This record gives sequence, structure tokens and C-alpha cells, in this order.
Amino acid sequence: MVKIPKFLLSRLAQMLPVLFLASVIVFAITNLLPGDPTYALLGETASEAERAAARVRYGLNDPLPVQYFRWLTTILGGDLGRSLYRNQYVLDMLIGRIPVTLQLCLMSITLAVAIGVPAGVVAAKWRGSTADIVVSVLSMASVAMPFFWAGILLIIVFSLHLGWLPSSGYVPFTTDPLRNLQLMVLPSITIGTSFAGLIMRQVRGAMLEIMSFDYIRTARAKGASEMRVIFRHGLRNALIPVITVVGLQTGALLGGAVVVESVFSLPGLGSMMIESIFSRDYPAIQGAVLFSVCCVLLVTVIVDVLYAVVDPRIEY
Amino acid sequence: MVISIASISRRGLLQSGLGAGVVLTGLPARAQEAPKRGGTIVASTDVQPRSLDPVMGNAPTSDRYTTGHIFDSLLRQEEDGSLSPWLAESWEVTDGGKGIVFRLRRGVTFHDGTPFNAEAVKINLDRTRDPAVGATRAVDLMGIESVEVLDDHTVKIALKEVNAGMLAAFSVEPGMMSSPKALKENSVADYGLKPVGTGPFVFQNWVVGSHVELRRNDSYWRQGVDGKALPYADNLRVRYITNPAVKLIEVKAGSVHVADNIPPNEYPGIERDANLTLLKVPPGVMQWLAFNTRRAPMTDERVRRAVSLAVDRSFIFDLVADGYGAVARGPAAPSGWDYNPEQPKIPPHDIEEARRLLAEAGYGKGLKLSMLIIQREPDTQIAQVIQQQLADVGIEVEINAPDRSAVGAIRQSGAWDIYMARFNVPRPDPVQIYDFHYGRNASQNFALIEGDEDLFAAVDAGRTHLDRDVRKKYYLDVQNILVGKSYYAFLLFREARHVARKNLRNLNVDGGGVWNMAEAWLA
Repeated sequence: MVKIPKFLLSRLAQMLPVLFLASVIVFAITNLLPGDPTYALLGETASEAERAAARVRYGLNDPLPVQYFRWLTTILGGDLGRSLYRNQYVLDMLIGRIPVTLQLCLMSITLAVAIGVPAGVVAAKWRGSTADIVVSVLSMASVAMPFFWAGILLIIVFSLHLGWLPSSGYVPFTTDPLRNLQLMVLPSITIGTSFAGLIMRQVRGAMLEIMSFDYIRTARAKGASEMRVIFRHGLRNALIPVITVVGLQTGALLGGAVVVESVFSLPGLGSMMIESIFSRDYPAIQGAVLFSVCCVLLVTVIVDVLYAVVDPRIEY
Repeated sequence: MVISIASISRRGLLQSGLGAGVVLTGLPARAQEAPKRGGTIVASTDVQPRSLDPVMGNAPTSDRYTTGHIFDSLLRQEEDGSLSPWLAESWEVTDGGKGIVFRLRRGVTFHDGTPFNAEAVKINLDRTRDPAVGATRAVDLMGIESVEVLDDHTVKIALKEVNAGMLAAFSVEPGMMSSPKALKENSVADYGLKPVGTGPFVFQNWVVGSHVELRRNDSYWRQGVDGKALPYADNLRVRYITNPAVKLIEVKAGSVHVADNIPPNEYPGIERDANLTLLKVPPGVMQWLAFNTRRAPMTDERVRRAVSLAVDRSFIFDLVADGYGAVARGPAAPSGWDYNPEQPKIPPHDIEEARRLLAEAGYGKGLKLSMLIIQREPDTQIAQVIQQQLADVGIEVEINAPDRSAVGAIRQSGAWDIYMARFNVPRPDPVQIYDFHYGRNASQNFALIEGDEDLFAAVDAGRTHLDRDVRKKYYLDVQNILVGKSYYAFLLFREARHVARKNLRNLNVDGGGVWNMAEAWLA
């Protein structure tokens, strides 16, 4: 366990070149987007002269390398620049938005694991049974349903017809915890059930393989209870691929948040990205994407650490 | 010469029946049953302002669905298009139309306690016109020469030339008054996050991407029918729900009381719902094609005319407007005073004539045209129908549909033949349509019209004459030229509807369709 911090340091150091590369790519893609921020900034009524003046004011006429290094210097100064469209600091905008998306992702993942793991175990334990078929069909359906459609469906059922939950909107947890949780339930179910399907399939596959190994037979022969065999000997060993899948899906999770946040009117990172892309708010797009890259990189480190926690044979 | 104006009717007798029962004259508010006080009204609007500083927004009218509750403007444009006193108790047009004198209401204070007076008006108007501020609405005040404080409650505005559209500008964003103290204490960027006006509601907070919270202004200057200060509601929350399905579900579930921009296919369902009501608002959407008059083959009037004749407007109207609105004659909305029910003639759907014109122009064997549109509904749907209809006369249309921010640069490059877009009409004054699109210095000269003196002179005359009947004549000339020379093909006018819950009582709107929430109350 003492070795992990050293490993962590080296992994974090490895992130730096990746981040640098990411910053180049993010900047390039953002600026390659056809379009002009002055249309969102000034509206349609502005004259060409006013647009030209705005382009000069925001340095949009400078050569791209110049703009890139100006942005890089800003980042290194611990800042992310100022949004063209909203005129706020991108960092402040992110700080306002991150809690929403973070809460959405954490609740979704928790739900996905809470549903996916037991369902996978059940499906593997009673392979071929009605339970297996039901779980498998449900998981396929949940993976196949697009977020925007599943979201609307949940709103229609749980808000409109049953009236159990509010359909959309956002209240910070610190303002009204109960209301906040009520509002976050449906978006979390939308993403969570989809990922639960993935996790379930992964757990089922891994469990089927592991439960046929010799040491499982040995454990049974020793007289271990079936519960102990499944959870202690089976599931724990099946978790490695599950953790890998969950880790790899972080990017997809953030992508899902973009759609789900817009369906449920949540002011998170995803809806910020949509607004900034449509208004060609370069600093805001770059800031939000770079932050997402950081998240994905950090999760891969966390996944590596979890490997060691789950499987004592793995050492760094 | 001094012309006293009590009230200008925008749409005259034509539409006089439409606004019946909802016209209000300022003080006091009218309501059929005794209003109830208290509660939180929740409204949803599509467009979240870029800034809550009224003169810094990029979406005139739409922004007022939020800022209109925080701010009062000098004048109010009623639902029927007439102007009435608001922060200005009265006004006079002086110097043969080159001056406007406002007499201001006394005893009004901004939310931060600063008194509203002539100095405040001057500070606001001078700030908006200051290039260093970079206000987007400066364009509406370009006609102002100077602003002069005559006494504490009288202010005189000198214009560079007679501009009949100027007065109406004071009933919208450029006429909204901010607290001079708040303007002084904040940077332009920061003020847009904490606006201070004199309006019925005080700004509380803005969760960008979600909603704006407003609280009742306890010392608002207007009174309700119960003799106490408006507004009736304690709080107002303006939410930004853009998904039409979610928006409608929220209204049906009762968590939102009123929402704008409802698609026409939802109207019948709403009319059947005992808890909901459809709210008709004055502005609608005019959909049109602009032809690139500087690029062959659209330089040829016969080709433009052929395209215009090949389009079946009635078919498109039935498809996208479900009968709410009208096939277009020109840029004027049927509800605008610049509309003429006879002229211009709607170009008929005449395939034979279109083919003949194309053959005459040397394109008998067919022709390829590019059409630039903004990726949004129903524009993409209309574009596809037009593509089919033009194929019938041998024109192959290639549709280019980038998102809004990308369209501007392509349009500017001139590499297109047909540009399809839309605007909201009627505007506070037709100047904002005619001068901005068809005038000699039009910033939105989409058809790239040049050198048409007849057209430009008619547009100028429409702006520089004060008499409504004279202006009507000039604007009809403009419309006849636009359609006659086929610079544009006007397609259809879609009426807009909002949906409201029936327990939200006494909801009336202004000329831009903006809700007057001070007088609305929850039953």
C-alpha cells in the first residue's frame, strides 16, 4: 500500500503531456468549426463594421498559433480566460456547472452499479432461467434506448401521469436538498439504467467464466456457503473487467450528460458545452472540453488504483 | 410646430377587434374578478438572454421575456400596437419631428433606492450610444443627436433627422431604464449579471442555463385594482426550457404557468385540455427566400421570378402552420399596420410560366442552384419541400444547412443563390424591418440589392414621414418593388401561440407578446 502514492505521482506526471496534446487538439477543433462568434455576440442586426470591430476586440483576427499561445499562457496562469458570449470567467462558469454534472454522474453510476451487479449475478447464477432472460432483455433494451427518448418517456410516466416527481429544472443541493434529489432522480435513472445494462452484461459474462473455475469447485468442496462462493470467490474476481468497463465509460457518461441535461433543463457542463458550441464561444468550449479530458484521465488513474484494491495480486 | 400624440394605433381599424378586453392604459390595472395576492408564478421562455442588461442582449423582444419584468421602459407598446405612457407620463414631438420631449413620472425609484429622473434617462441613453460600452442596442438609438435634461422630470431628445420609428424604440430595450448608481458601480460585464431597474420584480439570482429568480418589488409605482401596489404575485421564476415536449409537459403538470413558442401541431390538444388555454400574441414569424441578386443566374430577374412561381406557398403554409397565419404577400404581417390586404399580389403557383421564363433566360435544359438555410425547424422541412417543387421546373437545388453561427460567414461570402430565413413581425415600428433589410445602408440586405433608387427612396420616405397614412403608401411601394422585381419570395406568416394554465389569471401581453406579470395572479 505504501507504493501507491509513488505510482500515483508518476501516473499524474504522465497526464501532463496528454493534457498538452489535448489542449492543442481541442483548440484546433474549436477553431476549425465553421462559423463566427460575432453572430451570437451581436445578433443578426449588427453591421459588418461592428462585427469587424468585435473580432479585433476579442483578438479573433490574430493568427491561430498566436491565439493558441495566448490561451495556453492564460491556462498556465491558473485561469481559463473569459467567455466571449457570457462575458464571465470560464473558470467561474465551470465552478457553477460542475456540481450539477458531477452529481448527475455519481448518482447515475451508483444506480448503474446497484442495479447492474446484482442483476448480472442473478443472470449468471441461474443461467438460462426466466430471470436470466428477463434481465438480459431489459439490459439490451436499456442500452439500446437513446437518452433523449428514454428521458421524455420517464417524464411522461413519472411526472405527468403519476405525478411522483418533478419533470425538469434544477435547485442546488445546498438550497433545498430534498427538492434537489427529486429533480435529479429522473435524469440519473435515464443514464443509470443504460449503464446498468452494460454492467449487467459484463458481470454476467465474467461470472459465468469464473464460476466454472477449479477454485470455485474447491471452495464449494470446502463447504463454503453458496453466498460466500458467489460473492467472496466469484464476484470479487469478476469485478476487474467491470471496473474497466465503468472506467472506460466515463467519457460516454459525460457525453450522455450533454443530452440528458438538455432534456431535463439541468445547468450542467453538458448544457454549457451546447450553448458555447452554438454561440462559437471558443474559450468556454475549450475550457469545458479540457476539463472533461482531465476528468477522463483522472478516472483512468482511479481505475488503476481500484484494481489493486480489488485484487491484492496487483501491485504497482 | 408641436404635435401632441396621445396614442398611436399601429394596426388601425383593420385589427381593432383583436385586442379587445386586454388593452390597458397604465393605471389602474383591470381585472374581471377580485385578484388574489401571493404565490410564485413560473414562466418558461425559449431564449435565455446573453446578458440581463437590456441594451446588451442579442435577441430583441425575446430578451424582454426576462428583462421586461425587472425593467420599465419609457413608453409601453400595447397589444394593438399603440404607444402609451409608462415611465414617461406624456411626450411631445417637436421641431417638425426632429425632437421628442418626455415628461417623466414622479416618485418612481429604482430597486436600489436611486430616484428615477431626467438625469437617469440621459445617463442611460448616453451610455447605450457610447461606442466604448459596445451596447448591441446602440443601433436603435443611432438617430439621436443629443439628450438634454430640461428639468428634473423633463428630458429632450434631439434627432439627426425626422425618424418615425424612433418613438417606438423607447417602448422596447433601448427605452428600458437602469439604475445610474448600479451602472456606475459595476463593469459592463458585471452589470449584466445583477440588473437594477424600476420594474415590478427585483432581480434575485440567475442560475445560468436554468432560470432567473425574481422577487416582488414592494414599492412598485403601479397599483392593482385592490388599491395596493402591484405586482400581485410574490415571486416570479423565469425558466429556460427549450425542449418543446418537456415544456408542454411542465405546463400540463402545473409546474409551469405559461410557456412561449408552442409548435402548431400541439394547438388542438391544448384547446381540448380543460386546464390550459392558448394565448394569441401579436408577433408571428415571416418565412422568406432572398435571392442573391449579385450572382448569376439570380442576377436575371426572369430566373428569380421563375423560382418564385415554382414555389407552392399554400402547400407549405398548410404543412408547417396548420392554418394559423396566412400565405405571405410581402414582409408585412397581416396584424401589422403596413399590411395591405390587396397588394402585393401573391405570386401564383404557375409551373408553365416558370418553365417558360427559364427557357427564355436560356435555362430550358435545367439549372442547378444552392440554397443556404439555418439548421432548424421548420426551415429544413420547408427547404426540402421547395427542393421538390423546384425540381418540377427543372431546377436542381442543393441545400446547405449549417447551424446559425456558421451561416453568417457563408452568407457574407456570397457563395449561394437562395437564402431562406425568417423574421418576427410586426416590430415596434416597420422601420426595423424596412430600413434594416431593404434600405440603402441595410445591415441585413440579404438579397444584396444595389442601386435600386426607387426602392431606397421609398424606404427613406417611410422613415422620414410622420403621418401613418403617408407611410403606409410608401411601405406598400417597397413591398411591391420587392415582390415585383422578385428580390425576395415571401412564403408564409405563422402566428405564434403561447400556452397558459387557466389558474394564471389576467395575463395580458404587450405589442411584442411579452407577458405583463405585474397584473397576473394565481387563482
